[in-house]
Order: sequence, then C-alpha cells, then structure tokens
Amino acid sequence: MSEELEYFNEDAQEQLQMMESALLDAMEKGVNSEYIGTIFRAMHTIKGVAGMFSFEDIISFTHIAENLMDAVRNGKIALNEDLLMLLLECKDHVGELVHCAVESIAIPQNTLEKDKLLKLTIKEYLESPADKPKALQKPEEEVSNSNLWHISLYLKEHFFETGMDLLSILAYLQRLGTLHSISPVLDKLPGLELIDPHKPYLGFEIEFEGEITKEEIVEVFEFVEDDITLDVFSATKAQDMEAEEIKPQEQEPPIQIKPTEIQTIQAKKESLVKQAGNVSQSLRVDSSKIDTLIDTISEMVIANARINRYVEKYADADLEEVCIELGTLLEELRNNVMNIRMVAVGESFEKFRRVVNDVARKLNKKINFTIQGGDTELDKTVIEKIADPLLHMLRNSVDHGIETTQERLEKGKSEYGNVELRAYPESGAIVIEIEDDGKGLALDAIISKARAKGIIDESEELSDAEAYKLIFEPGFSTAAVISDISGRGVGMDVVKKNIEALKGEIELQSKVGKGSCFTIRLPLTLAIIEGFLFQVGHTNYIIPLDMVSEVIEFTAKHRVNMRENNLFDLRGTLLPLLDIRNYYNELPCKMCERQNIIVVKYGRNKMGLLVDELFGEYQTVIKPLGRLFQNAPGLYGASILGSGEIALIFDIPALFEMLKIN
Amino acid sequence: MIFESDVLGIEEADGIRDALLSCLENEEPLIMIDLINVNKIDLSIIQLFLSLRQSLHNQNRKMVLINCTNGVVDALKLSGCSQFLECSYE
Amino acid sequence: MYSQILMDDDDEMAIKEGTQYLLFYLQSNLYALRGEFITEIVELPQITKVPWMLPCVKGVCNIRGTIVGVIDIARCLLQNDFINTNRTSLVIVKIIDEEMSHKIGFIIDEVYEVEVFEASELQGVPHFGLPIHSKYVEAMIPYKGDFIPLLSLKNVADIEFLSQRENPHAT
Repeated sequence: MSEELEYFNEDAQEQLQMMESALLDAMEKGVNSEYIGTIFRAMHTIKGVAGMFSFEDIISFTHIAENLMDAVRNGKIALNEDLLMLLLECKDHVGELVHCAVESIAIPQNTLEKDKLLKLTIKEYLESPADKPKALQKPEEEVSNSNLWHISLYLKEHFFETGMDLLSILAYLQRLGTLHSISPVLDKLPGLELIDPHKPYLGFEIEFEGEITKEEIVEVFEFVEDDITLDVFSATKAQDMEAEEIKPQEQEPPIQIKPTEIQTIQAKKESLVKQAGNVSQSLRVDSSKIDTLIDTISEMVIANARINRYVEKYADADLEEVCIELGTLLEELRNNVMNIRMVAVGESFEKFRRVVNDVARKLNKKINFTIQGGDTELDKTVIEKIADPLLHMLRNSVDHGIETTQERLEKGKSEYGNVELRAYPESGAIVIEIEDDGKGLALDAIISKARAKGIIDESEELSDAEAYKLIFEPGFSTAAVISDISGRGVGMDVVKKNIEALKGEIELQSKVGKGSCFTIRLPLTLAIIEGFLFQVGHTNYIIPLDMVSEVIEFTAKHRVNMRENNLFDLRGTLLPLLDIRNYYNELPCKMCERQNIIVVKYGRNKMGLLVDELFGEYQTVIKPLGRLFQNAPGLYGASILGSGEIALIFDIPALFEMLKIN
Repeated sequence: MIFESDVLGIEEADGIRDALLSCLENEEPLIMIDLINVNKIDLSIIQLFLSLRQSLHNQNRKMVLINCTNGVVDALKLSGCSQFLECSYE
Repeated sequence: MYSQILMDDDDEMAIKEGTQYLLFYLQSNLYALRGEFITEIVELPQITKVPWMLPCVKGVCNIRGTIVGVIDIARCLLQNDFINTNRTSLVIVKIIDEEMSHKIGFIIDEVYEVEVFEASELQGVPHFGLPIHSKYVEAMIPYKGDFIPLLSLKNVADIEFLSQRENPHAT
C-alpha cells in the first residue's frame, strides 16, 4: 500500500470510528447538533479525500449520505432511531467500500446490491422528509450541500465531425444545477485568415454547482467523451473545509452561557487542541521494528549484568560509577521503549459499544453499557489478542446475562440492564472485568447441566468456585435455547484458552438474581521483567518482582510448627508453603547454608515458596521455552544470566492454579 | 451583411468563413452582421465569429451582431461567448 | 569446531549430486540425519534441568542467546542415558511445529562424517532386526558395506510426545 493510500485508509477509519461513536452516543443520550456535525463531517471528509484518489464508488455513496446528513443538519429530516440505524449501516458500508478501494479489490456483488439499496433508502428519506423534528431545532444557517465543480473542457480535432452540438450538452448540464460561469478559452483560436472552419480551437472553463457527483457530470458528456478532453474537479474542498472549521464556534449560541458551560467548552477546546497536537506528533511505526529494538535492549540488559559482575570483581570506584550511570540510562531507555508498546485500552473498548448495542437491539433488550478505566495501559499485542474473547463475553452478558425488559420489570429491576466493562491495574497485572446486573448463574443449574453433559460424575461434589469453573469447560453452554447471538459452538472454553495463551486467567462470580462478574487478570507486558533471582537445588529460578510480597528466613521454628501439614505461620496468618526442591525433584544444594521462604502474591492469593539461596533483584529478559516445554509446570519462560547460565522463570498464577487442582 | 439561413452549422461553416473573409477585406471600421433570419447557430459558427473578432481586433476594428434572435442569444450566453461578441436584439 | 565439517566438503559436493547427511555415533552404532535441518553442531553446553519432563528431555541450554531444548536421543531410542565424554556433541536442528519454527538440540556421542548420498541410494526400512523402533527410521543408507539407519526427524522430534509432563506427585 502506498503511503498516501495508507493515510487515506487511516483517515477514513478514524472518521468512521468517530461517526460510529457519535451514532451510538446519539442513540443513548439523544441527538444533538454536535453528533450530527460529527456524522456529517465523517461522510464529507471521506468523500473529499476519496476524491483525491478518484475512488468513485466511495465518492458517490458518501455524497448521498452527506446530502442526507445535510438535510438532517438543516432540520429537514429528523434524526430518529430508524435513521440512526440506517446511518450505522451506511458507516459499515463505507468501511466496506474503503476496504475494497484500499486493497484495490473489486467490490463484491452483495456490497454493490447493498450500495443500491442504501442509496434508494436514503433517497426516499430525502424526497419525503415526512416527520419534521418536533422540537424547534433552529434550522442552522443554510449551508448548501451542493457541490461546486470546476469543469475543464477542450474540444479535440474531430469534434465537429461528430455532429454533436456542445451547446445542447451545456444546456442539459444547466438543467442539473447552476452554471455559475463559463469562460471560453481562445488562446488557440487563429484569426479568420488562418482558421480551418472544420476544426475546433476552443476550450471552456466552467464553474458549476449542483447536487451532482463527478461521475454524473462525466456522464453528461458521455456522447462526446472521445472527442473532448474533460477534467472535473471539486471546487468545494478548500473553501468548504475552511468554512466548517470555523462554523462550530460561530454556532455556539451567544446567549446565557452559564460559567460551568464555558468551562466545559473551554476544556473541550483545549482537548481538541491537545488532540491536534498529538496527531501531529504521532508516528506510525511497524511494530516489528519496535520488537527488534526491544530485543536489542534485552541483549544490552544482559550484557550490562555481565559488566556489573566484573565491576564487583575488580572493585574499581571509577568503573563502578560509570556502570551505575550506564545502568540508570539503560533502565530509562528500557522503560521508554516498553512504553511505546503500551496502549490505553479505551480505544479498543469503545468499539465494543457498537456490538453491545447491536445485540441488545436484536434481542429487544435495553442495555446501559458503561466503560471504566479506559486509560489503563496494556501491551498492544495483549490488547489485540484479548479483543475477541472480550467481545464474546460481552455478547454473552447481553444475551444470557441480562433478562428481557419484561422480566426485569417483573423482578422490580430497572428497565435498563447494566453491563460494565472496566480495567484497572493490580499488583503487576491488569484486571479487566465484565459485570452485569442480570439474572446471574444458578449453581445447581450449572452442576446438573455439567452432569447431563458428562463433564462431571453424578457423585462428584464441587465447591462453588469449582462449579463456576465448569462453564469454562468445552461443550458447556448455559442457555436453554441457543440463540444466534452467542453460543454458536464457540464457548467460554475458547475464551479461557485465549486468555491462558496470554498468561492470563479468568474467573467468574455470580449471584442468582443479582448478576455475574467475569474477572480477567493479564500480565502487563511480555518481554522484560524485574525479577527476583534465587536458587533451588542446582537450578536458578526467577520470580517476577511485583509478585514477591516478602522474603523470610526459614527457621527451625517454622519447621516445628509445620509438622505434617504444608502451612506456615506468617505473623498469625497461615499460608500454604510449597517446597520447591521436593516439588521439582531438585537435588539438595550442597553449597547452600540455609533455606528461605519467598512469600508470593497474586490477586487475593498468597503462598510461601521454600527455596535455597537468594540472590536478590535481577532485571531480566524473558525468553520463551518453546513448545517442547509447553507443559512445564508453573514455568513461564527462561532467562539468560550474565554468566551465560539459564534461570527458569516462575509462572506464579499457573502455580497457584496447579496447586488448587492438586 | 446578412445571413438568410434559419440554421447555421458546420455544413455552412466554409461558406460563412468566405463571406466573413470578404467583410474582413473591406475596410469598414465596424462590421455589422445581421442574424435576423437565424434561429440556431452552433459552436463552429460561434468559433468563426470569434475568429473574425480576433482578426478585426488586430486591425483596431470592431464587429457587432445585430437583430439576434433568442436562439442565437441563448447560444452565445450558454457558450460564455456573449462577453466577447457584442450583439443587439431584434 | 564441528560446525566446520558441514562446509568443508565442497569438493565432494562437486562430484556427487545429492543431499548432505550427518553420520554420527550413538552408543557405538552409526546413524544418519538429513543435513538440511541441521543449523549447527556444538560441544555439549551446560544444561539446565526443567522439572517434570520425560527422562529423554534433559532441559534447556543457551545457544548464543537462544534457549534451546535438549533431547537425549540415546535415551529416546535406546533407553540408555548418554554418557558425557569430550566428544559428546549437540546437534541443533530446526523443526517446524504448528507453523512455528524452533530449534532443539540432540545429544550425540560423536560426529563421524558428513556424506552426500543420492536419493536413489536410500533403501527401505526392514520391519525387524533394527536396534531401534522402526518408526524412528526413515530409510536405510548403504555405507561401506553396512546399512545406516536414517533417523526420521519428524518422529524423533515429536513435540507432542516429548512435551508430555511426567508428574512425580501424581497418584
């Protein structure tokens, strides 16, 4: 894809996203002129940019959609729910057209049909503006929606021989709009002494205005197209865009503005300015380049660790100073690079609104969908990979979670079902939750279903937490009727798998009649971690530092208190203790003098690991162990130490999970 | 000079050029072309008028179309040539 | 130092058209591996044990910054652990599994030679009389009056099988 085309694509996507947000907001909060303006501008801008590339299909469609929005803007047509839905479809359709144009593929037949259908529907709206807006929506000042075209027309040598009369063609054009001016170009015209009466020497520069597309103009000249050179370009762009930039400010009602409103307006303007600033500074980079950069820095981190070992060995004060400085800089560099990969989840979350909306509409449910913590940052690849599972779960919540309006009213709940999607950081992980206030999941229903499907035995007794886990089992679906919204084979087991592939975990809490809450925990990032290095037997191990709660020496007292069970007393709280040496079959460590307990935490869980020698904090690069070790217990990856030795990295969440199972 | 035909088009262009050339040859400062009988002209004819105007312009002479019918006026306006060709209505 | 072997045989290559094969010793018998998947051969590096793996999966090692899993093929094929001598080597092969390429290392007792054979020289696998299970053998190569089993990389490096967990705590 050429750079210009990429720009066009990004621009169009952005406009479409803004349009969608405006449409959804309008559905939820009611129509206002700001939303209308956004929708209009989206269509208008895409049309304009498409014009530069001569993407005729996009131009012709967006032109009509723009006409429609103009009529809305002028108060000729009311923006009711049906129309909002139509516009949503238009948005999708334009997205489709843009895709075809950008990938330079032929527009598929069904899209072409859709094109026709949508155009027809829009035309109906335009021709019979049946329902006038009820409120006295002041018709905003007349902005003509028609386009100003500049037509450049030159006659070719054999024009007169065609027998076609250009004048009648111009007369026809005049009927389609307004001929603002037509200027003959006489440069080539010789004097009468030299003229060949059969040859045309003329050209015309025409300013034409009308609700007409470039295509339609060209069509006017269809019969003579071989004998003229024709250039049609929009004269609207420059002036119009300027006009629109200015208008919103002009439109702000100059009456009775409360101070608070002024503030919001001010804030809005500021944020606009800010946004503009961001745009100009942002730079799109191939993510593989960032990956390479991270790899290089990873190697530097390793090399630096090695230098530090020598520094310790030679105890040279100057060298040490330089090394400390280098270490600080490296740290800074690393943080900056890692930051490049971190993206706020908000943008991705916004896209879900559309889905929730569509599903709710299809099911005739009323949903109040809220997003919280949109500015929480997460590694870009993690965000991309989590999108599908989240989508599926949101659909589930609306479909199976929230009751019908009727049921809700009967239960004394509010007519609107609430679905909330939120994200927040928590001890080295990011938590994403989807909560609804729907009917919740009945434990006995889950269990009997699992029994019926043979997922568990008749006799098996389960704790609540275990029972909730059943819905993540393959082949489990709680809906009595499988609707076309969710539960079409792909179930929560796929969701769980996807999340586990990201080293995350998912759990469900639910109360019958009150609602359900899915909680997903994801690691912040994938490449470099601050670790805590220690030894068990002959092997080096690392635990991500932010999961280390504290480290204590394992004493005789602990040993006595432990007796037969695997619990130890941490200031009055009993915690499970895992003897890593025993668990992983490590040989005893000959050199090690004493054993230690590392207390690790994850989410609400804590436990102690009984280990040998402690080495302390260690910044490290995570390297994958590869598929050969995909089943390695509680291990996340490996890291190469300064000495070239390998340390295995603990996957604490997986370890908790394993111990609960065993 | 005066044209007799109702319609002037590319078929007549050669003849009209000769006629106009003869006007160019006499030395009258103002050439008047009477279009009272003409109801329709096409671009090839307008082009000849413009060409004549150019030649006259070089000699500091002028031309005017007189007794223009609606058909002629419309054609001149439509082609944007009315700004170059002075014409009087019938 | 061994990695040179693969490249030094240019002369031979010129004479004979065909594929390169690595011949090596495993408990005093010769075996062969196709050269095309071998990326390098190194002295046996330090191995870090990974818990709960099959006895033939020895752990991981550091090959110039990449973590490479180490397989003891003697243990896999002959049920005997390898014996570490100064000739023990690690053959690094690149395998494609689930559309991802990654490297694993095979421990061998000694590199013998790199030879070129034509495809027509390869012969079928007998159903009995082999020192190892026939599924691990792709073909037999006649060499100096004897037959050398050509190991099937696909079946020897069967990730699905090798990645199994052996839980010592399972009841």
